[in-house]
Amino acid sequence: MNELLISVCANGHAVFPPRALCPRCGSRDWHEEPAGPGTAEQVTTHRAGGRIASVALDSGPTVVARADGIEPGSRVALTDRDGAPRAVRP
Amino acid sequence: MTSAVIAGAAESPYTRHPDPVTTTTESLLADAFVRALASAGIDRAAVDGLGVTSFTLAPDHAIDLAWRLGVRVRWLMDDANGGAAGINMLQHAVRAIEAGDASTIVLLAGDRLLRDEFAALVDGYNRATQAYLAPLPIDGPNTDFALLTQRHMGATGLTRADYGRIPVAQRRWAAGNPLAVYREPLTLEEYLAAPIVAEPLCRYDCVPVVSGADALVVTSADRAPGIRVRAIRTSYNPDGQEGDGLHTGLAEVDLWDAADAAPGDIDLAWVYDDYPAMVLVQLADLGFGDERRLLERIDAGWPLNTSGGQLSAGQAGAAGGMHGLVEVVRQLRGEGQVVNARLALVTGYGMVLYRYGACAAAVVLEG
Repeated sequence: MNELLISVCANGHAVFPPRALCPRCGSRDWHEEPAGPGTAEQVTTHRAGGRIASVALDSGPTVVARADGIEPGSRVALTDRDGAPRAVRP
Repeated sequence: MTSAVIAGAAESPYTRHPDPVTTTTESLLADAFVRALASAGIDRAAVDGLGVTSFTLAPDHAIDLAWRLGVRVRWLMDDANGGAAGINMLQHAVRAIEAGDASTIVLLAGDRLLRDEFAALVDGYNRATQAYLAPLPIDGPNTDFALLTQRHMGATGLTRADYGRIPVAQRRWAAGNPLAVYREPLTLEEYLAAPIVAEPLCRYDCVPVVSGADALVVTSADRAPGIRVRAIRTSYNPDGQEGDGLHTGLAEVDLWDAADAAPGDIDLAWVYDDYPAMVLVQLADLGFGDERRLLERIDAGWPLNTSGGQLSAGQAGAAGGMHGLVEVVRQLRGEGQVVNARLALVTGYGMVLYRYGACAAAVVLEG
């Protein structure tokens, strides 16, 4: 499992999911960086079986991620598992 | 300048389990088309404009529909703005009538959604959903709005028993709408005991998926009597999906100045109810005041979502953004339960890009 990658523009503005132009500076010069740590702000369990969190990254973006065993308010890291973001204990 | 009116409105009845052989998206749109023209007393030959929104008409477009409905038109519109598409199309149609680009426009919205078709729709909603949401163990937008409702609870202090007052009140209105798919009474106790879909949302917080279609006839006031459009305002992509979803952008558009009216002047409202929290979010954005006072008014029978809303009448895909317009026209014409209503508010909301809807629209109508 790799760390989730987010898009960062030439001026250091981070977004997720990717954009064509940076919403802040209009840059089209993107590279990818590891998402870094964040906080699982809200967590719900769907009847289909998945526990899902809204994760506010310290770098700015908010990511919707699978969050098995994660409690609201806890610090998490984000991995990329088969393309789906997954919150894990750091 | 010619002034535009809504001269006709109709709904092709919503059904939970349509016959997949005899009921198609096209047959539903055609049925709404015929019914709306009949309600306006206008002949098909007079139609020279057509607009459509549908998730399931593809690969056909508005021009295919014009061909198949047998109308020769000089104004044509395909709209893909989901729950905001009905009001968005109305905004364009009003300007087209006023400018003389067309004289009589029919606007259509509808979908046939069998179980597999709905699953394909929500998983393939846009590229962000395909890539980052569809692989998660969820089915559609319920999880996003469970997380949003938790944020709304944190911001307002409301509880599940508060949100439940909205579907319970709307079910009382649904009893007076023969086209609503759920009309039997719903109690708050039943709401609180219902199966959870995704905390804190239960079954009654989520719209029943149905098949159906809605239609409006927009023409000039000198051709037919009708409902006047006081003002339309829209807000698209207000925050780049980087906020909390508890603001639609409708607070920053000058709807009330443009309509020369205030929230207190509104006799009835239809507010897009994909989830109860969003009803309160939109009403707060539009200046209707404190959530607890609003819930007291809703309990006391304030005419809100008098069709039963989508929560009781059903959500027929893209028709959800036109259903409220059709319902409010019915009420303003004196054909519903609300007596002596003159000014009405209708809102639309939708297109969940990643975490919440990015499209919001509002219109003030005058009967």
